[in-house]
Amino acid sequence: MALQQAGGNGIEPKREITSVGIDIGTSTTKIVFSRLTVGRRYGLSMLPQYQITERNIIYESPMHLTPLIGESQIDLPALQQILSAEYHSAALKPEEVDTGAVIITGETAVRSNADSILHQLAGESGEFVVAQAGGDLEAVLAGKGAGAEAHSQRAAGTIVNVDIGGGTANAAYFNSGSCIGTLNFHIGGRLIMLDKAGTVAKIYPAARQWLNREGLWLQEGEQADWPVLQEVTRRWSELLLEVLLKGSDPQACPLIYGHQDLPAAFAKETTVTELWISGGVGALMEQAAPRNIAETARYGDIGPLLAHAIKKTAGHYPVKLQAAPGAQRATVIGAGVHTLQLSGSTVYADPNLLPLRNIPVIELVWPVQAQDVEQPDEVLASIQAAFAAGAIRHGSIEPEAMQFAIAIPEITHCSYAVLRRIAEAVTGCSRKYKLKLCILICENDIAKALGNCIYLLSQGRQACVCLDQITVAHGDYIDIGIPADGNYIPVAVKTLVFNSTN
Amino acid sequence: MVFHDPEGMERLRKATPARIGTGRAGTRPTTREQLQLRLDHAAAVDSVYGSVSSTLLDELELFAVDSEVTDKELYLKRPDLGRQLPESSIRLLRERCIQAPQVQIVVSDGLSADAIESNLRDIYPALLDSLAVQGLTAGTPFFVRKARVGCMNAIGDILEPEVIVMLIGERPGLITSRSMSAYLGYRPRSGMTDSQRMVLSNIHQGGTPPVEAGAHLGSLIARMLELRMSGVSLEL
Repeated sequence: MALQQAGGNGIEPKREITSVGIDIGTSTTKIVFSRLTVGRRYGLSMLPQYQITERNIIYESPMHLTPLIGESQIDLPALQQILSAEYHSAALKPEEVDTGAVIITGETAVRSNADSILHQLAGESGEFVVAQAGGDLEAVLAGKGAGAEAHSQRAAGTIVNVDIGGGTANAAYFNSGSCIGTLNFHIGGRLIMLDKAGTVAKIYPAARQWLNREGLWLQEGEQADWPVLQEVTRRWSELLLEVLLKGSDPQACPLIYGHQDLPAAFAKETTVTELWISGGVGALMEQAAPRNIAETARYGDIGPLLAHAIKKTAGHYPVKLQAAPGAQRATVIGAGVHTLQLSGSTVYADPNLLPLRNIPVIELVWPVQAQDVEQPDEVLASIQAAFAAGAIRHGSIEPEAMQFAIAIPEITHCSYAVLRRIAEAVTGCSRKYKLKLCILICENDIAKALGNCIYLLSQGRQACVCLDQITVAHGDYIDIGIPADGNYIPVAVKTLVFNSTN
Repeated sequence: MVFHDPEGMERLRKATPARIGTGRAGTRPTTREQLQLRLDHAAAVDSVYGSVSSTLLDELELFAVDSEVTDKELYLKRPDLGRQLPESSIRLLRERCIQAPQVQIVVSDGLSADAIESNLRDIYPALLDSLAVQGLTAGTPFFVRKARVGCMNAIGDILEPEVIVMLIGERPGLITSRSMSAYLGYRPRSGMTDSQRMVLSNIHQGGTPPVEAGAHLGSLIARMLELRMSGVSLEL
């Protein structure tokens, strides 16, 4: 019919969002500003849905050395100075920045003051800037920033993007446009530092232990032995690629850390067709191979040698190797450009209750695998279990202060009867735990209907925020922004794992 | 079928409900595919010629009236008659319905009884909820057999609602025979044209979820009442 086409073709006003990404890494700190464009996805005869249609980088900072005080602390005043100078260069004020993320990566995440600094900087950097940390997240953001995620949508097979920086190597597997697993390694260019003359200046504990076990002799303050350095980087490359490309058991790899998202057998089954290397080490692959210690030590560490060892080792595998475009800035671009999600537009939220920050996510588990939630008792039991878990994990002495979000996984067929059952159970539980605010995140597009139902069941007494089309996982934290034009709600999903490299 | 890149083929299949990668026998479709196509076509025809059960109407407390059309053949040939109401229906509406309601809900089988049978139980209560949340009041809902969208003008002339919402079965296709649309009009009266109406389409389990469609309709109606208009001139 005539009406179905009316207004559907690009007459929607464009909206722009200014976003910042700040990456505080083991060796370098970088900042990017980008402009995100939001557009309506379907014609007017469909439920309104908004998405980010364009991502343009408007300013990239040069690389700054991450300022440290001694061995264990990040130098906050020095870092603030760097940031303020970069905001000035970009001609932007923090209050003009709508969203973004500060991410603390690699070895820097284990500094004693990492947590407090991260939250302070997030608060100072703009309106809705979130704090991020953790190897898995870093891997995913780097893969998105490098463009591996987008590329996997067009390419056959699986693309692995490994972001290799100073202290860690974070790998993310992408297939058909989504991340299917991550792995993190204690492999990095700066784990062994050299001075210009080739003397070992510092060895990080993560590398020290491994060197001792392997019987490789490198000592701080002593001249590094060229064959030993070659041997170290060769073995690191082999350990890395054996797991990533050949599917060796990650548990057996001595350099792996954190939890493994990827089942051991996974890499065996999937066909990795392309290996992308981002991060500082990825950028070094493009330069000439170092021929001696002096050439290796030009940045004060073994990065150049590691880059070329990986390049050489990858030649033994049937994959296409490439340095990721914009390699060194992949993570910061990922943080600045890919952190924000937009909720579905048919949601239930009183704008007076927003924004909300640092809300932990509890994942509800439906009883049957087929998500057949027609069983009233089982629906009730599942919802009660999720609320109980939330109360145990995030309850405080004052019940008023308790806040968590329940993630409701997919329901194959969400009839009104099922919706009503969920609403009844949620309303009952919210009352039982005296929740001031009930926060729900649905995988199905049912948020508005569910919110309406809860409002009516509680006679308007239960405050509720109900969102959908946001991807969250158990243990994530979310920030929920203020709705733009009442059309969509910006949401940032955060993963904070500070002790991940321990 | 054996594909050169089965993973890629699977991805293409997931991206569309269209019949792709089905193979062939010589220059023709395979028997299996041919039968599937005929089955889907038969389902589409059945839903045009089917009727909505009185069980469903009783369950949702909807009474039924006829349009000017008496049988399905005539319905298909004479769309104009589907837009009109006979004297008997007009009398029944005057007797049983609240006059000049804020929101008038009307349901019709239209071109797919199947669409009403499979979606009304979900969209209707969600629509009532959303009206209640918005603080809007609905008149007496009813069902019109074999109506066209334009029938809302005839109903508007009789009951004079501020807003009408008509839930009607869409023309069935080979992908689904269960798709429903919700047409909306602000002050529907004789002479109202398509451009003055709005539609939320493709409502079925595999498209716009019925419960969320119902919830969204309440906000749309509230916006129409606020701006006193509907159709292309209403900015959303």
